[in-house]
Amino acid sequence: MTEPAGFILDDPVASALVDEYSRQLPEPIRLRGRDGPWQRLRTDLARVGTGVVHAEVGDWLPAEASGARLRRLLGRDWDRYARLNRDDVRARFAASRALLKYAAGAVLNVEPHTLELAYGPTGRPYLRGCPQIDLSLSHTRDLLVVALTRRGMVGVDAELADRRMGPSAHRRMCTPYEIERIERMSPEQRNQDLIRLWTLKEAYSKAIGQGLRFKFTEFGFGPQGRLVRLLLPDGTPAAGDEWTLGSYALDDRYRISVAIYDAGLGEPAETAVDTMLDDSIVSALTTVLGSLSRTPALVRTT
Amino acid sequence: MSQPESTDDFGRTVREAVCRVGMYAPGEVGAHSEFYGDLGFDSIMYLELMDELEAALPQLGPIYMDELVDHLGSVGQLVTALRRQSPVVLGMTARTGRHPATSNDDLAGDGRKGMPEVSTA
Repeated sequence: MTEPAGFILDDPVASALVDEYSRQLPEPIRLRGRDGPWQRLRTDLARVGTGVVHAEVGDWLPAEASGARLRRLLGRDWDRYARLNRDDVRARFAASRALLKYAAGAVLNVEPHTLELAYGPTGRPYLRGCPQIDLSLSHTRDLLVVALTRRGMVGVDAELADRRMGPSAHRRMCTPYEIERIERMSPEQRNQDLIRLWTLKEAYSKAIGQGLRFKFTEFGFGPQGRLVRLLLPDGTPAAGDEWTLGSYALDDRYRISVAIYDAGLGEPAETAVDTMLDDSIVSALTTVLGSLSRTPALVRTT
Repeated sequence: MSQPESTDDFGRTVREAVCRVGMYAPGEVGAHSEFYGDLGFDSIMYLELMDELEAALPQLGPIYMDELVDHLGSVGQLVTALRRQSPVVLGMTARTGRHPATSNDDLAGDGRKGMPEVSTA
């Protein structure tokens, strides 16, 4: 059972705004294995443009830790996987890539092993040859989370809700506006809010491809119980409606946050690979066919 | 806390900080140890490591995550990056004419550029 955080407002006008905003945030979907429910994920992608799935590592472990099927599924990630020395890290790595490829495969309507997961210069993952979908991955302890969007860019992050943050964590990760607010909280409230802020900041910085390279003290978010908006260090708004941000308590055990950037791509009707033509290919075909139709001799001889 | 006076002390101090955060015994962490694949570090552990390093190496001044994130592949890579900030070690380098990165205890293993798993994936 998930509980969306940050959407509690009494004012009717504000509530309408929140309703509109909330509609752009999907409810995380629990996956217990390779059987889905994939249709719910496809529906979220079609309805709000973004889907979030979560699972336990144990449900997505490969049958054989070094078998041919896992090697085929991991593709270019196999060498990286093989270099990992810790069993728990290897298990999370394999299970997270399996979840990601099955989820993306369900949305794109292709076999998971045919998808190639690649990484940008800063380590940001993407699916090679599938620009219609952006994705993000997070894992902590036994939890795996994958977010997919067709709206532009997405970042997701997860942490244990009761994880202890160090006594100086707020100095390293909070804006002056956030610090002023956090220092008035009880120690327990403070830790909860630091986890919420940390996951929001990681989600946002992963969405823009910066990860921990981005100074977490230079952007922030408001208090829990309000609409989640990107803020400048002094607490004033930093962005318009292009960002949709949400934070969820998951099973009272984890905190998940999602950041979605709307690139203004409109409403594509279809994301499946086999029913979608790349715009550049359509444009090239149109040009060629147009020139053919204006060259009667050539048309006659072909 | 006493200040490290040699390059070996410097590397040992960093490794000890890594051990405290990851709760490893001193002998379990070496220059070749990779933060993600070998030690299981995640983003919040990196945050804790910055605190430990600041406390153990006050001569470096403030240590910022965003400046070190590209050097968090292996412990050796981190040591090399931190050494570049250290006035004590820079002074020794000038006397010995030896480049800090060639110190045997801190070579970064396979030379793979570090990219913390948790930062973007």
